Amino acid sequence: MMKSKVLAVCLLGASVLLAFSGCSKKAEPSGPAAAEKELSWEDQVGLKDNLSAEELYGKAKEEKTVTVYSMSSRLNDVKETFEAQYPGVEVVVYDMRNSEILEKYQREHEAGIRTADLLFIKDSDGAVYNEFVKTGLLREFIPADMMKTAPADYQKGGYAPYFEMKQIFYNTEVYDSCPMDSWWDLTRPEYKGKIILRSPIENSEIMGLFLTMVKNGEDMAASYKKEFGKDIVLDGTENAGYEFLKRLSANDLIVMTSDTDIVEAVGAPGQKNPPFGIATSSKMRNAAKGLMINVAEYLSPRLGILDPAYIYVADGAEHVNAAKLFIRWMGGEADGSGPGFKPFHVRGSWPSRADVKPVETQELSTMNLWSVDMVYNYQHLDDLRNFWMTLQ
Amino acid sequence: MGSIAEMTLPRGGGRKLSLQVNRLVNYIRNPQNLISVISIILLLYLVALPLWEILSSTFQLQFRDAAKTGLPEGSLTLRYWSATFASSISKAMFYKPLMNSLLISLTVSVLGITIGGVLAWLVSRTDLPMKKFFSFILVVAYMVPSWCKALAWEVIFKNNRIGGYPGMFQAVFGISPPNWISYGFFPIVVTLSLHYFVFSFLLISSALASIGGDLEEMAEITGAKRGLILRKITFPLVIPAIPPSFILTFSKAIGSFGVPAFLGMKVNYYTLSTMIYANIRNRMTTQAFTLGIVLILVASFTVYLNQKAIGKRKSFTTIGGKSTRKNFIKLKKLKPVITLLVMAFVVFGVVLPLAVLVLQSVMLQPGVYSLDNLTLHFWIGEGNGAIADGEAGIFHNPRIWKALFNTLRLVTLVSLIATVAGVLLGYIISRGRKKLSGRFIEQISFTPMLIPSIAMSTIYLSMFSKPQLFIPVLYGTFALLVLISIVKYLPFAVRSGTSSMMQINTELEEAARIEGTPWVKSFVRLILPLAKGGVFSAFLLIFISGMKELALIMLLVTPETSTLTSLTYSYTESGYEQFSNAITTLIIFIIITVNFIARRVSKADISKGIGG
Repeated sequence: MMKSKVLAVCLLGASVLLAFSGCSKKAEPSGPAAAEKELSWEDQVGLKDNLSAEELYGKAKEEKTVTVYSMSSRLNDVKETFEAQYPGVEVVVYDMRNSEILEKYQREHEAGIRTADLLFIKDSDGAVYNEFVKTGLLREFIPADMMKTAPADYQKGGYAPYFEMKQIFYNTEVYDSCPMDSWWDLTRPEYKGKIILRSPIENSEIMGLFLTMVKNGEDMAASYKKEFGKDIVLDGTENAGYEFLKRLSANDLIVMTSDTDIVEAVGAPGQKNPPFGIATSSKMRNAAKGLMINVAEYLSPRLGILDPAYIYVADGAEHVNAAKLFIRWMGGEADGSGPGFKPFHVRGSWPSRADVKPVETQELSTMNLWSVDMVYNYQHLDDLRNFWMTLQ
Repeated sequence: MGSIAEMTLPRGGGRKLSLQVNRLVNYIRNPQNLISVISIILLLYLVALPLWEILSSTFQLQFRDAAKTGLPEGSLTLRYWSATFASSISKAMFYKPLMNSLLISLTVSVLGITIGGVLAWLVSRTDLPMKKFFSFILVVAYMVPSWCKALAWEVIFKNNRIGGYPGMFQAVFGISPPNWISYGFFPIVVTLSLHYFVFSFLLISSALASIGGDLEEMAEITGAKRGLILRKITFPLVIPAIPPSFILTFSKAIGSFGVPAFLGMKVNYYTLSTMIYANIRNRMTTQAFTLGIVLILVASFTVYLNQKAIGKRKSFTTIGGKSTRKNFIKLKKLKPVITLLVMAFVVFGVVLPLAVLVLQSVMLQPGVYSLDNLTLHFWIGEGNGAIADGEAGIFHNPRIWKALFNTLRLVTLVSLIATVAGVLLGYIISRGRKKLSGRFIEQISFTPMLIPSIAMSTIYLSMFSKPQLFIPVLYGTFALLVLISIVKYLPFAVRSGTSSMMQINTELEEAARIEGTPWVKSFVRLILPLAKGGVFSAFLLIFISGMKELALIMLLVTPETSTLTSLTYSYTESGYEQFSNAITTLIIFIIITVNFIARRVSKADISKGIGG
């Protein structure tokens, strides 16, 4: 008797729920139509107009504020100098992780919340470009006059004021120079359990690097031959790129969630058998805090890929002019010497504009790099993610 | 419930309509019914609907995958479930974490109940010295967040494997602990058991206290041996306290996030909860939902099995009430040994983690154990580019002040609202046990207990990031944190509300009603004052739980709404452990202070809130 009553309650509950969920469906806008309508937004607000800093400031003062979702805490420094230079325009910085920014922004955009004006993010696996930029969720704005000297690839598309890289860090107290000269060194048994990195599943830059290796399987095969003197034998994988990842993963990797932790583990003084780490190049600045670290400057087949730090304008942003003014400030304004770029002008990061030189860092021109194929990366993202998970 | 069916399914034609309306009006006029109806709707909306929402979303093609497959967004698909159950990644993403979760939670439950039971027996039945101190300090173990013990474990037992500064053990003894001690199953089980034994300790203590010692005493007088007494009297009496201990421990352990995250993820050791988190972080939200649903099912199934095995939870009514004169069992020769053991347990389980925490918060470089490495920077330092990327010490740090304010606002609001809701619902349940509506409310308000925190926050994340009926988008707002916390702590509040209400005889109300006192007045003037003790205890328990909540709000906080606990996690994740440790110390300080004041002022006792 009681059971049947419980069942009745459940059924009633379920029907109520069905009714509710039916209602909620209608509210969602249809994707393509919304995108089409919003395409004209760019023209309405004059996003593409190239105004001078003075003109922008005039308009920005009316907007009063600009909000940035940032993957780097260094934007707080930019905020300070910006507000000093342009009183009356307040900068609000939300410091979050890359994936959090995307998740939050996407949900807010869908719900019609327009908090963010700018997104400062990395996109090495192509997810941002393919899911956000192509669909009009994020808008590109490049201050053309500032990027005249940048590599051609970066004069169009999204604006990247600087590049970083994932590099191999080693401990300089124990090693006089980097004992590794090939990515394949990471698969050697003597480094078993001695390699720290962030998970490619969680970190788009590592993922971008791995995707590029998979795409350039022949490079990896040639490099294997050079390193070990024989042709590579694939163990059930598609190419030497995948094979590399399989062997790397089998080498008892240590996965951490923060590059700060990784370089500290590598470079903390007083170690006898320190690990190696794959971390973001700009962590070289932590050498100033007593860490004994340096990066591999040559690796076979290539040193790696550039990880541009993109700053995009949010679709429907309410403070477009302040946003554009902020972008200019971040890039160091017209001649690149503005204080807005200072926080990024550090060891281990490369200004995208060639008229500003990197600090105590290898010149870009001396570095043998792969180029990144955002479309390929995005198409193979799920495959590689699944492949990596199967290895765990 | 029968009456609700009447409301929604009018039976007769138009002729009877006015009669129906009249009946409805009368039904609603009765405040008890009104509250029943409102609470059923709210509970369906806040508990059942979210469950339905995530379940249905796992069968719909999501935006990301729609573009890739060329099918329209929202079309029916089994891809998420097949990815979870039967694909190349199932083992890594689902089966391994599931096994880990089950193993951990079962081991923790067994250990927790054993430790808690033995301690409870020692404290309430034997002549163990310093009982007051022990029962106080053991409950403090529960006030120290579980992830804080994990942090302490890591500080002590960190080994060579991950490089960097050495752990304390290695610094002192020069030996690097083996991996299984530093990370993975073993430390997770130890830290969780050191935390959740408190549930069993409190529940079993109160079971022992409620039956007094006279039964055992009688047996002793009639010449029964001590073993026989334990086996034939004490155990059977304590058995009703075991299912709730098991449920509490198991469901808490399987949903716990901080401990497996700190001690497992570095060696690729995942549980369902950390895997859910990782999936959400990697924007594979729907995949995370499938795991969340499994987690809920596992928790519910275990509770069901457990109830089946031990039978319906019942309370013994022992005639004669509490005995006033306690006759303690003498530990005799074993007394010093046992006292020392309990003392050692307290030192390792409670004192040491706290000491490590405080010590870590004043060390400039973690792992460098020398006097000149001590600093108060992380407490009172001004922002300084040379340390921690310029983060100022916690007393000078606006982020932390804001988080402190948020935390206090959150826990106060939540404990107030949840307690009041618990009293109201408890009233309905206790007075409506025979009605279906009462039982339904009891069941559904207990459901959040079975939904692990991390799963619950994934649900709310998805549900409230679009407008819902009359509720606007709550994503990223403070209100969402309040809402989810209220729902999550409702089971505690309702349980304590129900048991307080059960103790109040209906005759009192009836007398008031005959006198013509309106219901609201008799509730406020008569029932509330009588239930005061239980209400305060529930308030205190929720306040404390809220202060240290991490998994529940982890995914929902934004920089604007961040709380002390979420800051702790993000500081740890980005490598500034000292800040985490300083903030955690602050959290514990607040908890202990509040607990102290509450006990002084109102005689509130969190052990009552847990269900004793």
